[in-house]
Amino acid sequence: MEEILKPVEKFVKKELIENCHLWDAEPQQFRKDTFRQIEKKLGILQLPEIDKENFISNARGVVRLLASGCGSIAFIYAVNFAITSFLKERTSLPSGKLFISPVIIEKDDWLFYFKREKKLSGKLDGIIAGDLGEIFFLPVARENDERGWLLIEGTTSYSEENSFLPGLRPLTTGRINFENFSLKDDLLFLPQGEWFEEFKSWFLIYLIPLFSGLVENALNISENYAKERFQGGQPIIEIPSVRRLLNSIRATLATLNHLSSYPIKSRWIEEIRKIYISIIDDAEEAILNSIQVMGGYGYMQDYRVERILRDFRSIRSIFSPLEYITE
Amino acid sequence: MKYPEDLPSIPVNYAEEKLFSPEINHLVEKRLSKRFEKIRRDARDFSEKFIYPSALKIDWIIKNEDHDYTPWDIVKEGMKRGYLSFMYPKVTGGKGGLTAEFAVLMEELSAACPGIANIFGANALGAAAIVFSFNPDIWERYLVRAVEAEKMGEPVIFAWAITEPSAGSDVEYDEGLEKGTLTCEAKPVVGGFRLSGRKVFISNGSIAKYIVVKAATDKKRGRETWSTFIVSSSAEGFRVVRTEYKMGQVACPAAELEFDEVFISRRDTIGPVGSGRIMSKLILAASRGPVGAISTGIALGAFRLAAGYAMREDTPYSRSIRNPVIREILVEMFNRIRTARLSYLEATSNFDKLLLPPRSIMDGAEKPYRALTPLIRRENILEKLHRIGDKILERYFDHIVSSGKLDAQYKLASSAKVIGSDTAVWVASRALDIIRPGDHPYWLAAQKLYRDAKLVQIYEGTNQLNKQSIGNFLLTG
Ligand SMILES: Cc1cc2nc3c(=O)[nH]c(=O)nc-3n(C[C@H](O)[C@H](O)[C@H](O)COP(=O)(O)OP(=O)(O)OC[C@H]3O[C@@H](n4cnc5c(N)ncnc54)[C@H](O)[C@@H]3O)c2cc1C
Repeated sequence: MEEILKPVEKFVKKELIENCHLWDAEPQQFRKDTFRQIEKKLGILQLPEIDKENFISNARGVVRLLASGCGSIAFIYAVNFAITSFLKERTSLPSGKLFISPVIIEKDDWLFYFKREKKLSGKLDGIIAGDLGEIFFLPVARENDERGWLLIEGTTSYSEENSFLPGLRPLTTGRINFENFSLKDDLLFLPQGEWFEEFKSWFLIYLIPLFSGLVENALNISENYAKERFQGGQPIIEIPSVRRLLNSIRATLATLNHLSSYPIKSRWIEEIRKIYISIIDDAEEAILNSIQVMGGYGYMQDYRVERILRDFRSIRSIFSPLEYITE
Repeated sequence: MKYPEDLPSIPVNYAEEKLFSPEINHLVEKRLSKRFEKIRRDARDFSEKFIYPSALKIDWIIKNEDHDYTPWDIVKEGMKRGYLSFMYPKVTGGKGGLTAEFAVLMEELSAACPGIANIFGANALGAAAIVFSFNPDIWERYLVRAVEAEKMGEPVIFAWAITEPSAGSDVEYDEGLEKGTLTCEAKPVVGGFRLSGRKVFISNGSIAKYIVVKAATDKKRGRETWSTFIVSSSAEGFRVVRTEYKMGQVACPAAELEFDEVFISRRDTIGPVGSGRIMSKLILAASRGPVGAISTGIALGAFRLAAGYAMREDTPYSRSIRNPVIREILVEMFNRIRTARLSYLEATSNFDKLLLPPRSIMDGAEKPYRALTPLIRRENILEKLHRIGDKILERYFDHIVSSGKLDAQYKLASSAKVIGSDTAVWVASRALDIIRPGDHPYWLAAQKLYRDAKLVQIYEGTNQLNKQSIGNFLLTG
């Protein structure tokens, strides 16, 4: 695990933090090959092969670390890991490729899948990071109106749409067009079924470490600020109100860290949802509090903590807790 | 990231009216409640015509294309309805509005866009010290002229500058003024003062014609020498250093201002030297209520979006009002809004009762004042009136401090601010859970309100500072 995480950590500290700030201010600086370069350097997509047994815990560790520098990059990998964790039990997966699916799950538009002709038709809107994806897991309807999800490899035409998220700024949102798209092979077709609940839950397995990374970053920024900033003739870290805020952030971080290694055992699908619903408000509060520690400066882009809130809130909205309230 | 031509208008659904009839009827006497409703209707009409259609575009333009864009067309439309001169006394040609009335206006405008609302809000804050100067000389030279310019179609904007780079919370309370590091200083010189230093985060700072600046005349003795000055943006030595890149409420610029030996004549000081502390407290006792109202408005706006979205036929069940859980969450949201609204109405009505001269007196003074205007406007008379005005102000300050009225009101206003701003963030966050990302235009509008919401926990004193300043009274004997 150490050997896997060390280079990621170094990369986060040395490059990612700085770049992420830049990409937020100037999203056009983040190009498709920017992601490729990161991947080339770190080889994160190879994780399932490197250490099969510890894949999930390694992946969670990586997501957590990445998020402590940049929510957007962590998000791409978290989505990828969620999809691959789910699928790898069901089929063998090509390695080193980025998996993307419509993450606003329960979206009701379906592509048409003509099995015999090996063709897809239709379009999917609102796909986040669709331009970076190589393997897609998509909702489709067959000729006989059988519905399910299809795993395909291949690039399609992608057109960028208006960005609608307050955060995850450098990632584009777009429409993937499958008009007359010929499939080489479908890698897997899963008819609609109970499995969907499991699929949705896999995202949470990776979102909790992602939130943990975001909160850690927010805490670091606000704590360092509190040591330097003087009010009332003392560093504000000495002010009881500020200490109270920082302590509550630390408490949430400790909880998130703990839950980041929640074991995948029986009943995990239900449990992870409950965990998610119970910690999500605290995670948000922790980031809001980090801004609060910094007063007016926390609200300004230059001070880098408000971005974390925008990233967090974008992700929380995509995975709204309302979608995870189980009966 | 694309451009905003197709950015939609914000949808509006006054869904709260399905839950409760406007409950303010039960809180205040009938006449006032009727005025509230008239103001609310006017603000809705204004918002529907000018704010809802363009708020998302303005937010986009400022964030992505033209950082210093100001929606002057909207400001001018608001000006025509008296939103700039809302709080100026009638004798100056203003609307003579009460704090509670202004708060209702702020709530409704903020439900549409708190950034745009805050241009009017920060203007009122800037003009407040001038209004509370009770000084005919200052009223004539600033408020009367502002109203006259408005009649010619020229908005005159005010700003309030208290925060310094090294002193934010510190300038908001007495002990902070004593222990903090002040950098601005208005040194006494012949005929007035010379002001040097910087102020930061000043709402309207880059678009204001006049800035009411708080500064010490001796920065080593901030508490005793804290004073109130009026600086014109055309004054020599004044400069806008930059406007901030902030998360939300972007329509209202927050600027860093530099004063380099700016000369301020004695007649542009409000109250005697050293009266700045009480003046600040008075202003905060007035303005924290309306900040509670801005906050309530943000929450109301988010509630309307969430409810409007949940009421659509094609909204998925998990987020629809067909789902009892969603109905329950919407009621929880509205309950908090009601609490926030009652708090700010209590705080602002109380201010009007305790600390403003009765409206009957102000209205009664209008005619004689008008009759005397030609005389008053003579320079030598104005100068004399200035000194008399200072004396009146001193008496008034003594009275509100010794009677305990100021403290009582300050606590109420601070409490309304905290309750409101916590409500704004909480409700805006719930709205984002309900509205599915990408379901435009509800989603776009709701994520904007969420970004806007965070600010209200910070400005007008952070919530922590507000709570401390209430809590400290527990220590008194
Ligand atoms: C967009 C925007 C617009 C603004 N508009 C204006 C304006 O028009 N005019 C104007 O004058 N100012 C304005 N402000 C400034 C605003 O009032 C200050 O940001 C606020 O008072 C906090 O000061 P600060 O930012 O320096 O934070 P700091 O004072 O540095 O506070 C940092 C942290 O320390 C805490 N803290 C500090 N002292 C205490 C204490 N004694 N007790 C408890 N906690 C404490 C704070 O709660 C906070 O958590 C604006 C700010 C923003 C962000």
